[in-house]
Amino acid sequence: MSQSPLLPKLFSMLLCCWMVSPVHAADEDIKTLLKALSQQMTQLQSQVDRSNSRIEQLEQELQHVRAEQVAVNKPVVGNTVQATTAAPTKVAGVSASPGPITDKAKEKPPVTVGDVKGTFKIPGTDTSVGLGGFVKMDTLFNSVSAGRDRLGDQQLAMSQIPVGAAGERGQVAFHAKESRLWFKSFTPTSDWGDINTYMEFDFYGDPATYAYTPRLRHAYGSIGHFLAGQTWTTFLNVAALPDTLDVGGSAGALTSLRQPLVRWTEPFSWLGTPMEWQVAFEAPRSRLWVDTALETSSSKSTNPNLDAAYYTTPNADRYPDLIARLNLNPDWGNVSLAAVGRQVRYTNGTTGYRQAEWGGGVNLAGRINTFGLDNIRFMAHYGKGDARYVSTNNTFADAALDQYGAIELVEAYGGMLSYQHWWDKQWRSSVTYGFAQGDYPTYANTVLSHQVQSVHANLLWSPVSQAMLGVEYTYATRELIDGRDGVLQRVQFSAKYSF
Amino acid sequence: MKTLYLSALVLILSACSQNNQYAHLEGGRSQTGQPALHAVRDNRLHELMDRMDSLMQERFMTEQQLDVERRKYSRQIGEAARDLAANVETMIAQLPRLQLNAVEQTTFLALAGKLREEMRQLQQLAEQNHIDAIPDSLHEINTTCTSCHALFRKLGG
Repeated sequence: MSQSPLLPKLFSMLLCCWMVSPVHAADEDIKTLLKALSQQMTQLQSQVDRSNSRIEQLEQELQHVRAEQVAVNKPVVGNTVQATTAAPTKVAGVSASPGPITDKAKEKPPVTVGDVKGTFKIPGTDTSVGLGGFVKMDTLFNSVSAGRDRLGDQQLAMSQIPVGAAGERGQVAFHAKESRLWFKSFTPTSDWGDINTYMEFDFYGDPATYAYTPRLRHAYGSIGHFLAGQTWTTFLNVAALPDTLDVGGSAGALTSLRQPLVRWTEPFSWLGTPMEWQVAFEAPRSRLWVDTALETSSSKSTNPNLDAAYYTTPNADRYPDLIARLNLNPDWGNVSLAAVGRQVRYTNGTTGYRQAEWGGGVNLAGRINTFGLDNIRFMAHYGKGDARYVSTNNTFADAALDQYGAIELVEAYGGMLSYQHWWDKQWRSSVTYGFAQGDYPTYANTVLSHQVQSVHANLLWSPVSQAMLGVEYTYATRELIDGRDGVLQRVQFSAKYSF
Repeated sequence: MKTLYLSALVLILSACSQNNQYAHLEGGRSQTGQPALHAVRDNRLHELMDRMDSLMQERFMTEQQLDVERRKYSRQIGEAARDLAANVETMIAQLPRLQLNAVEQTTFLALAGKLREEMRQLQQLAEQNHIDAIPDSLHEINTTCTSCHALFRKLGG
């Protein structure tokens, strides 16, 4: 206690003052002052004693809680920050027994904010990790059902729009399959650039209406400019995808293509415009229409609603799909031009008969800012032998093989145009139109899909950034080679809550 | 299909016919009737911040792609803040034309200096990618702008 030695000094000074003063009238005042000071000192000492007693009691309680946690083998990570920042210390001048628990708590590094938004650092490392996702509930009123346990009732699947009398009229579907969970990490390195990892899941793993099987959407890592793993194909400009409630997306948009790939991205600047080029090798997968003279299948069925059953996927590919892309990223939006080159290959599983043909295509896509937050999004693509990229969910085949085994590439093209308008910071709408077409050789089955079109119009409300409620109207058509078509009208209500 | 094409056209046209939501932000008009340069750049800052906020509604980009977009907007906010800070000197150069008395001149210069310092801080936050701190910084800048306009806009004509 530093106050104690002051008392004699103070007393001496007051005594001197009293002695040199010609007047002794202040005598009583000084005595009163000393008495008051003495009382205050007593009170302070009492307060210090009570505080130290309370600290010792809390230390004992903390020790007891930690012992219990160790006993049940539970980590104490959640208490790390508090234990470190609020570690009890004794009031000066009062002895206290040093607690080993307090020292241990001080040794533990605190959990700190990560280098990227929404992350925290793993204690003792430079790695920032983050976890997030959203819950999304979709309620769909379909003018016609795609059929029992089919994806087409849960999202727009062009190839499953019924043609003819098939499908229940006025069907309703409820599901929360688009709900997602993601994990990401970020680790800076001094020599090779940043290391990023990312994984994302949803629950579309099984098209059965009431099955909620997790599905891997993304799983990739990158160091510097090199990325490897499963994610959006390089052929697709994700920023150009329209803001639809329907996760199936618009006709003419390369929506559902996520596949394993390796990719190099090189940023550069040209005339003051930030740009980058990308080169990727991606997983090949040839989808073929094969005449029944070559192998037994449903390829020549007259039923117009067989979806993928007309096609064969031999898994006999020998070369990866090669994709190159150029991105322009000016302040007013972004535009990309991508090209794909690939070999479409057929191998008969029984006879070993082989056919292959090289094909490719180009895709121009972008998002251009207009007024305020409004923007236009677009895609336009053309190719021969790249139909797998051109429209979603088995709509077209890459190539066809006739009864003699000759292979011919399918010419496929399409486009999408979307305008997003923000009524204010909470309300927004998008209107989207898209189409895609596949031109088959004349010998192909005439019940194959020839052209698909769709219109989406929605109104979405986000009262806070983590919540969104919306309604969307969809009008979509599928036209066969023989000229028949099917129409789907849908009203979809969605609620989405992010975390 | 004619119905389909027609409905698509009508929907697109109706979406295009709308007002600029940032019109209400355009203060600080100069004597030419056009928004003053610093007001235009201030609006640019708000627009960039709104664009960054709107990324929360994206659900097709991966989180890491969103981080790249956030960094892009953060860089643009930093550039806009730098331009606006440089514009403060132009505002100070207007001082003689305003015919202020000594006390008013001192206040004007103090507010201009405060704005310059706030812009410098905003630029720093944006360059260091401290995205979460940017809204508060923008709010402080707004307060300074509003104070200055309330005190001097009538005087400046």
